[in-house]
This record gives sequence, structure tokens and C-alpha cells, in this order.
Amino acid sequence: MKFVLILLVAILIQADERFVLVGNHNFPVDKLSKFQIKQIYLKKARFIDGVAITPINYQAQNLLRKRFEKSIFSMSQKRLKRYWLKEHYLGRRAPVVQKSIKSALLFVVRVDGAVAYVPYSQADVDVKILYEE
Amino acid sequence: MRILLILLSILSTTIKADEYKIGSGIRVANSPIYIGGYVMLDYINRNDNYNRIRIDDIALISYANYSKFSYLAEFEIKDSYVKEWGKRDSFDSSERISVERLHVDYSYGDNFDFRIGKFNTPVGYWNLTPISVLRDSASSPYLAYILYPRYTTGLQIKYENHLDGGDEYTAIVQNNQDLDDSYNNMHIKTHVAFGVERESDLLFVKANVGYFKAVSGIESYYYLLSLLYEDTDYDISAELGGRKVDSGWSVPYALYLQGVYHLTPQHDIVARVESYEIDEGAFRNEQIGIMGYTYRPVQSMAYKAEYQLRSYTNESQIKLSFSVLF
Repeated sequence: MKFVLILLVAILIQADERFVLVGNHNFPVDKLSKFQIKQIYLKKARFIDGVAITPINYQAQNLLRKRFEKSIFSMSQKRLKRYWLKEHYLGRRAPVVQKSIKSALLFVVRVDGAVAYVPYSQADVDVKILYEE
Repeated sequence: MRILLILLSILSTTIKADEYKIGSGIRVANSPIYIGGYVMLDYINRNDNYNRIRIDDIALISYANYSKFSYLAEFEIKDSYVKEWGKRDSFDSSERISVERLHVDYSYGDNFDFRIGKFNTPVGYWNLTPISVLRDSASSPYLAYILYPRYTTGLQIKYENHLDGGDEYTAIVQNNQDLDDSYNNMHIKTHVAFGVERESDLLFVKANVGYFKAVSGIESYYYLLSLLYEDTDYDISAELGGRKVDSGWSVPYALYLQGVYHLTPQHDIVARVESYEIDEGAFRNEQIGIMGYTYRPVQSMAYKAEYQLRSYTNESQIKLSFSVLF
């Protein structure tokens, strides 16, 4: 019971904390605007300076994802789902999903061009902050 | 039909079932290849006592993205079951598989995309979401059928600048037979078109001009202006275009204005007014108003009901449809 409560509190704190978007130190630019992040996560912008950009997402129910989507997209969940339906018809996939922030960070550090949003406190020295909420 | 079923059975043994979510396709083993498809059936009841039920589309889509390359293939059985009764009694079925889209894409640099093969002509907004489940209404406006060839077999070059402003410039060229001309609204051998699109948060505007030469030798020029506004609770879209041949305007104008209100994530209401004039052999000038309702238990499945009030009152009708993308 205590474990569940601690977990819940941790999740709530994480969801409440502001997020940052990070890439590894080889990421071709130092800053991204909100509009540019939106274009990257909708996979409209797919390359920067010849580097393929790979946006990382979390599971649909993840609270940080909900917060990110609310902040970055001016779209309802319904519209976002419809957008990805259309993209599937056109032959494009939604961003890859990582199960945890830890695995997302690991992916970002290892893969040039990968970007992920994480709570501010978890952006360590191995990554470059491209956007702060 | 049998071929499609056999193909689906083979694929079903290799897919990663745990990853499947309806409307997102299935991945073939650990390859970058995805398989999806869609089905649409509809029923209409017209004022002149014409009734029709049909399975309009059964389609299979396959695509993959690898590095800077991608491909997409779509094969479809059109009108696999059509039954008419009332004013006219008939039954027809088809197992013919048509090539709807088949193209290879290559991304060059940050901003250029090249496409070769058969693809949806990138004109306006309606033609880029030509299947029922992706649309808000059960029917399409006439404009989508009478102005331009809906499919092009040739080369497409697109310049996109989505990081800085969201501008897009597109050029297409065809100078050959259609890959499968039984599946196109116009039989053409030449097609050239240009388009420019500007995106600004919720508003999208687009302008297209084009020229095509039919297999019969008739040359046509067309234009289309499009606007799409997508707010959280509602969408507004409008298109206006015309088509000209040597002897004058064969389509002096065709336009529609559509509004969609998203009542809840599952329920939408849609209203559209449209008008067109066509002067090709027979003259026809028509005004149409539609009111529709769509229920989506999940976003990739749609039950639609629509009433079309038409100035040719005999053709006013009720249309019901079911469509699913998988």
C-alpha cells in the first residue's frame, strides 16, 4: 500500500514538473521553438542538416505525455488521433514509444537525431536541452 | 477477393499481434513493413425511388520507411457487391483488383521529397483524404470528381519548409499512360500541376493550377483554391475551382463550404453547401445542401448518416455508410 502511494505521489510530482525537450550533444541545432517541436512530433519536419530526427513518445496514458501534448499541440486528443489515422493511410507512422523516461533518455543519448521530452530534473549532462517549457 | 484473403492469411502468421491497434496497421515481423487496409459500404435511398446497397471499397495498403526511402502500395476491389432496386433492379459483383496507389519516395536534404509512381493528385484538401473513414461526411462534393484527375502516374517533387513557417510547394508531371486507368476519374496521358500551401497554426490555405491532356486528345486547364481551419471543437473547409478547355469553360465554377462540429470525441455533425456548373456535352447547374451525423466508436471506424437536399429534387437522397480503417 505504502509503495503504491509513493508511486502515485512520484507520478503526480513528475506530471506537475515542467518538461524539457532534449537531444544528444550531436543534435544539429541548440534550440527549438514550440512550433518546430510540433512539426517534429507530427513528423512534418523529418530532417535537420541532413540528420534524421526521431521524436520519442510515451504510452498514451502517460501524464507527462498529456501535459506535453497540451502544451505543444493546439489539437484535441481526437484531432491528434485522426491526424495519425490519415498519416497511416499516407504511409507514415506516429513517433516511437518508449516505456519509461529512463529508456527514452538512453535512446536519445545513443541515437543521433533522437529527441524526447523529460521532466526538467531528469535532464542530465549527457543530453542537450533544446526547449524548456 | 480470394487473393486478398490468401495474402491476409499469410500475413497474419507473421505479424506482431501484441502491437496491433485498430487504425494503425500491423507490422510484418521485425521488418519496417506495415500492412493496413480499409472497407466501406453504403446505402442510398433517392427521392425517385432508387435504392442501392454496395460494398464500395475493400483495400489493402502496405508501406515502409527506411532511411530516406519509403514506398506505399494500395490495391483495391471497387464495387465488389452492388445491388439496386426500386426504380431499377440489378445486381453486380466484381473481384477485379485495381492499383489505386503505388509509389516510391526519396527524401533529399532537409526539404525535398521526390515521388515516382501512381499517387493521389496533391490538389486541394479533399483529394488527399479520399476514403470515407477519414472524411467527416458520407459523401464527397462534386468538385472532387469534375475538376482534375484524382490520380497521377508520374513524378512529384515537393519542397517543404516545415521548421520555418510551414510552407509547401509541389510540382507533378505525368507524360505516360496511367498505371491502371480503370481506376481514375479521367483517362489521361499528360498532367502537369503546381501547388503552394501555407500553414499557420490552425489555418491552412492552398492554391493549385494544372493542365492535363485526356487520352481522347482534349486539353484542359484547371485551378483550385482551398482553405481549411481546424479549431478544437469545429472545422471549416472551403474549396473553389474551375476547368477550361479550348472552346471555353467546361466547369465555369465548382465550390463547397463545409462545417463540422465535434459534439464529443465520438459524435460529429456536419453541414455542407455546394454548387457547380458543368458544360460538357450536357449542361448541368446544381446546388446541394447536406446535413450529416457521424458516430465513431473508435476514431478508425465511422457510422454515418446524411441527408442531401438537391436542386434536382428527384435526386435528393439519404445516404448511410459504414467504414473502417485497420
